[in-house]
Amino acid sequence: MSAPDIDTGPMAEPVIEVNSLVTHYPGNKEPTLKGIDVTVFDREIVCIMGGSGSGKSTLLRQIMALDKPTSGAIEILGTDVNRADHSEMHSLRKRIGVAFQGGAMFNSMTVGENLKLPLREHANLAEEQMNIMVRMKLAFVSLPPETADKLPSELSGGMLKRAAMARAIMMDPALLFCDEPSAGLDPAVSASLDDLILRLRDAMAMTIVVVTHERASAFKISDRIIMLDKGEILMAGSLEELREHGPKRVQDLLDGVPEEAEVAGWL
Amino acid sequence: MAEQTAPGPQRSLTEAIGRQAIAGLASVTRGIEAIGTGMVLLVQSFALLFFGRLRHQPVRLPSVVAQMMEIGIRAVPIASVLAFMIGMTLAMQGIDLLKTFGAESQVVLAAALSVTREFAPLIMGVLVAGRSGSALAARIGTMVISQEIDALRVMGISPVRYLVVPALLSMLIMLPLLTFLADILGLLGAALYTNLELGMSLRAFADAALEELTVDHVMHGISKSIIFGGIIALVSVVNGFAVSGGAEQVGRATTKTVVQSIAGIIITDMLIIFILTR
Repeated sequence: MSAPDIDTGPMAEPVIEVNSLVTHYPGNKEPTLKGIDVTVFDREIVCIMGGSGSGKSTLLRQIMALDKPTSGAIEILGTDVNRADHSEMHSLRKRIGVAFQGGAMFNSMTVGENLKLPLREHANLAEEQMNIMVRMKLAFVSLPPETADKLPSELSGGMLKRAAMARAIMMDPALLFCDEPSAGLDPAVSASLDDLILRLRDAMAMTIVVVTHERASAFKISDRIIMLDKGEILMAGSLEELREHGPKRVQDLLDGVPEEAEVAGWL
Repeated sequence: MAEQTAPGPQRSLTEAIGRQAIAGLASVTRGIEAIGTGMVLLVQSFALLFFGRLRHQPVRLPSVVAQMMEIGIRAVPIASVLAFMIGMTLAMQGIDLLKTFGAESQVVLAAALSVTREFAPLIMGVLVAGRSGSALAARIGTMVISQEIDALRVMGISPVRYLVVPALLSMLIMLPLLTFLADILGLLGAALYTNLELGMSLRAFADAALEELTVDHVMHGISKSIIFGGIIALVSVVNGFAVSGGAEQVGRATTKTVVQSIAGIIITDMLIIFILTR
């Protein structure tokens, strides 16, 4: 099933194109992803939603080129990730930022060193220049400059997510992936992270793909929602389109109503 | 059908044997897979070490130095104490045993050869496996479950280059150096005890030891320690990268690393001696 065409403006270019993506892990009877087609356009914020086991995390890993698909094509920022050589993948990696669910900050380094790591690897900058960039990115995600000297373990959940976001945007990527950015946070902190994601798109002209099960967050930030269920796309479109044309299962997922079989399992 | 024909206890026994056989085969398969993974990591590590720069994956000297500090320099105090004690113990055993033949002075030969050829590399290997191998497996395992390895990959940083190469290189360099240190301190321990027990001066012990020892004896131990260093590094990283799930798995990987490294060291040691004494 493919995402319906939406009007993304005359200049909209596809940033991510996924065609007939199948992921079948050895030992599993059923494929985790069963022929997914996704297109994400420039400067869009797309939320991938779905229940537990729907395949949204697997889809994200495939799009981030962390795992190889069983079959299908994935093109990111014009690079076919299945056919790209080391040099092409290296160039692609520099244009992608990822904010992981738990932050994935290196605990043995200070936040500042964590933020400098992509710069050390990919940019030939002096230490002072890197320090300036760290302070700039920390300010952008609303963290005080002294955060740079702290260890990740000294940060609160919300601060850690912001710091992870700051590291993800250190190289000013064209494409940002956020895995459950507001999971486990209180509503106020969660709302502020939603605002940050919107600000990143508007101020830094990024295309952002968010995997989330936080409905309020997805409704607030998304231009389009891709609704996954059991490894297939149930529907893709704006919230209004999903509300208007979505079948019952889509409405249930939007309303957070569990499947009958799921409820039976609880009982 | 089988349930109707086979009596309960017999079926249970057959079933148990079958399950054990399958579990045994599965663990053999896992073992072969792990050895294969280790070999791949070894080849990748050397490829990245020599050609990493061409693939935008240069091995950073500071990370190698940091690992060398951790694996080698910070192990010096405990390594020194252990080597000294082992030397003294060998001297105690040697003198007590040789007393039977009235050949106590031959303790120098016994201590010199056994320390340099066998005990120094073996004890340092066991020490590094327990101290640094376990820490490396725990570090990588924790990084796997907290998605730090994924974070490295999405940043375009090869985890093998960033984590494995510095650890492997440090083990290959620092374990022989620790072994050489253990040679000196082990002999010093033996010399001190011999001085106390037999009244042999340290100078006389040193002269006798140097007369008996050849470069080959010392290099025999040093060469083995290089192999042991490789075994410890590869066992640690394979177990670390194999972690999945939660913190409990990290603990298991750490324990497995220590056990497998020590087993690997002892088996390899035996094989080397067997081959060299043919």
